[in-house]
Amino acid sequence: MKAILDTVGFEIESIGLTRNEMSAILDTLPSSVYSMLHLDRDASVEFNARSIGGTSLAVSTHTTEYNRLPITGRSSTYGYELISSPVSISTAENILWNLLPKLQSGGDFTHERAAFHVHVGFGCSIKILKRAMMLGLKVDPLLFRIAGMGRKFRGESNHSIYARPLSNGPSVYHSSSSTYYRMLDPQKAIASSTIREFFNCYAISVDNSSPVRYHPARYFAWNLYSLLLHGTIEFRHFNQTLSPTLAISVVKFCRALAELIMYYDESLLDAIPDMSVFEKYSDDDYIRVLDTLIAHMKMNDVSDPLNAKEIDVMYKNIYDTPHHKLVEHNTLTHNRDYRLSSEYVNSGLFTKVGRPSPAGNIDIHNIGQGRFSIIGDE
Amino acid sequence: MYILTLPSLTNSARLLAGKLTVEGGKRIEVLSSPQREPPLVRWGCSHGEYSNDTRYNSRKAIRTCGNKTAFSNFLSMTDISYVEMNSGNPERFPIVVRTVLNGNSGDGIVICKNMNEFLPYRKYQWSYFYNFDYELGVHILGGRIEKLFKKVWNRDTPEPDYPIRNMDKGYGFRRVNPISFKKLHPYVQSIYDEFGIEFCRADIGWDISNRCYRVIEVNTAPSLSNNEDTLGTYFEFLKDRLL
Repeated sequence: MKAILDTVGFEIESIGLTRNEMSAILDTLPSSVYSMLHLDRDASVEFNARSIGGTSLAVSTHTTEYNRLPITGRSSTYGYELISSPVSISTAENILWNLLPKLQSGGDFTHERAAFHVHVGFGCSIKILKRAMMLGLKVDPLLFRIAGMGRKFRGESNHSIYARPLSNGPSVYHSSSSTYYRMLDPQKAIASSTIREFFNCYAISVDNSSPVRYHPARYFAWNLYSLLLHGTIEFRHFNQTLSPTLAISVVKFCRALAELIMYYDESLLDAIPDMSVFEKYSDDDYIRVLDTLIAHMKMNDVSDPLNAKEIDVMYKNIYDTPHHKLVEHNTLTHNRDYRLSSEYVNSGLFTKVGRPSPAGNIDIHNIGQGRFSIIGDE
Repeated sequence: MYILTLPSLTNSARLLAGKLTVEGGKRIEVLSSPQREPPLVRWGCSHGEYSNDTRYNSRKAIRTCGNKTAFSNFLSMTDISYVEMNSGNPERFPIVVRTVLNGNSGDGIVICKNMNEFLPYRKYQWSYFYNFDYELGVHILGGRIEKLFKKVWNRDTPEPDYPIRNMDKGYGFRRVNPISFKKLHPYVQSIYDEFGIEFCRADIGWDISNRCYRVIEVNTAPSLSNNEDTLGTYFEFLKDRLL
């Protein structure tokens, strides 16, 4: 049967190790694990550091402290991105159980700049896109609630610019009118009758032979543009984690959510109240949404459902994670050079917004301008 | 060795298991709950999960075919023409409302010819009514059309304006020669390629307006109790591959 929902993938970002250090850790993993992972770079988690006096303590060169310390040695670039091949759930479990403890013992650590993204293999049709959008609007508040993965949500520092909620996309600039517009009106996307109309709501032309990789459409937490780019639905909500149980529970939850897109009926949407990503609700409210989703996953007999222990991990994640402090305002896309074309402005699909706030995102190119802790979370 | 099925589908599974036992020489049981080992055959039952599961038929294919919403959503991602399930208000009538999404033999089907008739059924899914020139029951085994039946009106009264072609509504099956249906073969092949379903009976209609076949449903536990010859076809197919 067509490989829809058969595979998952994940991306692990981290600032804790150099790519050389990461590569050395990968070499220690069983080949069945190693062969499924691809080591890459990602500017959003990189920084330069030098060692103090030949010891293994590295100090960021982007801090004011750096200039006051007697630091020698060569500068190294820290930060990496690890990308898995498309794998089955059982292989994903095997990879995460092997990999994450090794990272921890190898000196890696979690940080607010780093994320954990989950992909689920999926197909594309206008029907599926609309169903995915409707479910995404209902589920986004819960996913943002747990996105901190037991810690402060990384999106608080950068207006979640790499993972915007569906209800509040990034603002993009239209040069001719010197006006800003919001990317994506979900209700207009839901009213579309073709895939072309749907992605026009993201200022994407599906007629292009190959989709543009770095486009503001990609930076939604519930990322449907990934269907065009990779044939997957991507969940970009989550903070990096080094806990295998939490990572596996989240991967399985995302996979089951994707499967629900195929199966759900109106009763699921009716059973989940309309919540806002930007409002604060009680833990019990989020638990009720989680319970409703898990009940529907069970009712529809999803493949690889969460077991009792994994469901407990999801509950615990709600209780353990501090509620994020995302504010509902216009945020400028971090694709600073992107310009919305007049064709899309004239289509009436985009809503005009006031001057947006800059995202405040940190990457290797602007890290010296931002606050940055050297080691670990605050 | 066992055939895994649902309590409501045991008749055909028992006939098949009996023939495999007697003529195939291996004792095959029929069970409705998964065991430690994977089943030899899944007869319309997707329960239980195994890493070394049978592909006759896959759990995923059975689940998708057994739920009209999932079936329609799956097909929307393919190039296969099909009868699409919808929700919300229709733009035109007549429509076929499905008050049961995993039923058989036309369970829970209601035809609505206007909005007033539809209002009591608004919460249910529906499909537009296709005026099929004819409907076929196609037994597909290993991607090939092994047996083909045309649904025919069996009563003396005139055929209904909006026919629901199943046995409960007065229709029967007449065996026809697959060679006469040239466009059906590539269409069936595309169903097999997308679903990888090794045996099934697909209900397929000829949409004369759009000059294409449309799949209405795929039954992964076809009835074998009405026709000894069809039972033999399934037996031969599975015996060669599984025993």
